[in-house]
Amino acid sequence: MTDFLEFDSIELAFAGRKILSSIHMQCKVGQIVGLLGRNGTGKSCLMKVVFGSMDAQHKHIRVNDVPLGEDYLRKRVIAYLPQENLIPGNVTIRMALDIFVTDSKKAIEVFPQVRDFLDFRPAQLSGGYRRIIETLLILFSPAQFCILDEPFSGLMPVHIETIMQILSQAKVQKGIIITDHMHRHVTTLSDKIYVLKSGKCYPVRELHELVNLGYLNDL
Amino acid sequence: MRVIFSFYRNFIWFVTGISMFGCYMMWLYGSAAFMIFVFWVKIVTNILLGLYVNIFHDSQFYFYYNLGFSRTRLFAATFMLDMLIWILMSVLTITIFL
Repeated sequence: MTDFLEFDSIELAFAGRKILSSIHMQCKVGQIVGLLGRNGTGKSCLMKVVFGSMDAQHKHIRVNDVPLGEDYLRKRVIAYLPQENLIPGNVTIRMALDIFVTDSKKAIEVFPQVRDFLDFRPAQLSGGYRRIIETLLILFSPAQFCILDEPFSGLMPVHIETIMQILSQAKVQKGIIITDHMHRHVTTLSDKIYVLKSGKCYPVRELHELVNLGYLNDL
Repeated sequence: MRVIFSFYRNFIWFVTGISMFGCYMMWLYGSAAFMIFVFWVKIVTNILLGLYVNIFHDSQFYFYYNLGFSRTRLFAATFMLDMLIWILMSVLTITIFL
């Protein structure tokens, strides 16, 4: 049986304002699931709630139908790439790889240029290289499921292609949830797409539904 | 341990400086009683440092969350490490100089 991450009944509100309501999503190992939505629809909040770093009024998160329970952060079942920088300023790339990744040699094989930056700190890297390395850290961490929040933001086309290749290879062993405003890249990569709108999650079967749901003006 | 140490390195110079200052005071006045004063100084500075990191370096926590460390676990472990280093330094000062 293919392992799967599933979450439902997610309810999130700030000061009485509902952000997420009755969210249901599933991601299997071997799949990339795209999550699209306009700014402020709660994509990042949803990812943080599922990852376990943000509390919600209610959530039910399971792997293979087994609830993850309290404090599942320490189990390292889910890894999360935030929109912000991942690697702290005082940590070198070598150290980050050593403590983050189970098989750093494999990660370096996938993106050999990382060898040139092993003794660098994140501030010494360009935004593109930093984002690729951060994505590598998440994808090669022991977590079976990876959540990526805007992995393409601020990247030049060559780097976007590199990340897309890395993602396509990584999904063989991982379940990946990805959100980004570069919707063409997300839709190209994804096996399944959801749109978040007004706090609800809508599965998308045909691309024209992105227009119907108000995410795009036209295809 | 490497994870805790990488977080501890954020403020190692500041907290070690306070520990060294405490040891220097003990040596200067020849009294181990300064440990009590330094203990409270360390409690207060650790709380202030914790607040500072929580407010101004909030985003770096995702690195540690991904490694399985919640904020509470991270702060508790670094506090214990800092206190252990300070106690060792104080014991060495008492043994050698007093």
